[in-house]
Amino acid sequence: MQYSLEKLKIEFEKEVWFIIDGTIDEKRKSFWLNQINEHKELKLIYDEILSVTDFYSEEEYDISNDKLIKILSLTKSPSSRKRKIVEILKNLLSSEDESNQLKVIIGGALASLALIFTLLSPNNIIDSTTEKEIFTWEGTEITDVINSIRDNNSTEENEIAKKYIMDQIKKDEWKSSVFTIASRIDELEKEIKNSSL
Amino acid sequence: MEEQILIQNSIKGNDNSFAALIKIYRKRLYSYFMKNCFDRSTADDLFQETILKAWKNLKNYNEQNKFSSWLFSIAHNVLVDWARRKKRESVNHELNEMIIDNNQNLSNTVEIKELSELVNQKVDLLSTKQKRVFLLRQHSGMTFKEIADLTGDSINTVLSHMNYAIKKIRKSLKEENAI
Repeated sequence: MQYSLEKLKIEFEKEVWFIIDGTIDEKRKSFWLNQINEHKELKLIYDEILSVTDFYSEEEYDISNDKLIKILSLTKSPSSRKRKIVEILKNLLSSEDESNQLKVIIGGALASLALIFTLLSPNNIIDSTTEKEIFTWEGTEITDVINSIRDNNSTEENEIAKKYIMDQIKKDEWKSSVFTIASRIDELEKEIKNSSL
Repeated sequence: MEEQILIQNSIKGNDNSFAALIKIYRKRLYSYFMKNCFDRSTADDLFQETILKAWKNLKNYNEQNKFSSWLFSIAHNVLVDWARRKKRESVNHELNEMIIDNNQNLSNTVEIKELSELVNQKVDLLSTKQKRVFLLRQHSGMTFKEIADLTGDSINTVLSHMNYAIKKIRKSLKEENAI
């Protein structure tokens, strides 16, 4: 098929980009390469395009480092931090290298410490409002009983108090411990009195 | 580290890999916004919006496609949204002002400008559509088929914008006796 030069130029202006992109098929590409060799006008179009696109700098501006760091910090989610910790621990635990043994020991010690602190934190001792209320109520009542033991020298009353305490707090070990303390106070007071006599 | 590995790690949620990946494109992406909106503060905002959208949507990225094309398609959409938010009149006003400023600058300094700097300046003379196609092509490395898909124009329209853009820049450079 014969093309007039003007028609050829119009077609070339469209397809030259596919040549530059490398998205043109081989047959068409070789056709245009032949045409470029024959017509300097087509070569001129090609060169003009490259004179602009090659000289254009697509990296003329740059964002400030501070701003970039700030933006990238927004992509750091809490879950990614957790993932990092897990990755570090995995690396440490999977390491068979002797030089990393110390790291494993330190890591293990830190993990143990973290576990101890977690278990001993107030949230784990009393972790519900209901439990707090029970604790407060029982604590107040038992304190009153202990005070009555301290203030009252009557053995009979002490026995009543002991019985009361036994009735009230024999349900669990914690309560028994408090009772033991109260009894111990009682005994100590008796001992003090006896020794002073 | 190869870009492909960075991409794969980023998809898995590795933010360090994503940061390294973005550092590869930071200038191209930021320059793309600067060329379109002329203002550092706006470019900063658009850059941030693009990065965060890219991070959130990484799982939707198809590794069969170029990462740059995917990233710049997000950038393009962010830019279009921004342009929609702005009143058309005010955008045109800013464009006109910039063109006048650039021409004044050029007339004073044309002798000492490098050709590449001149080409970059001449891009500001393009119409919005010409510039959009030209910048997408130059910054993202998208094919014209991809640009056509992204902008919703036919491939012939996109090619026409690009050819006019090239001719306009060439003409302006000739008028400046730069080529």
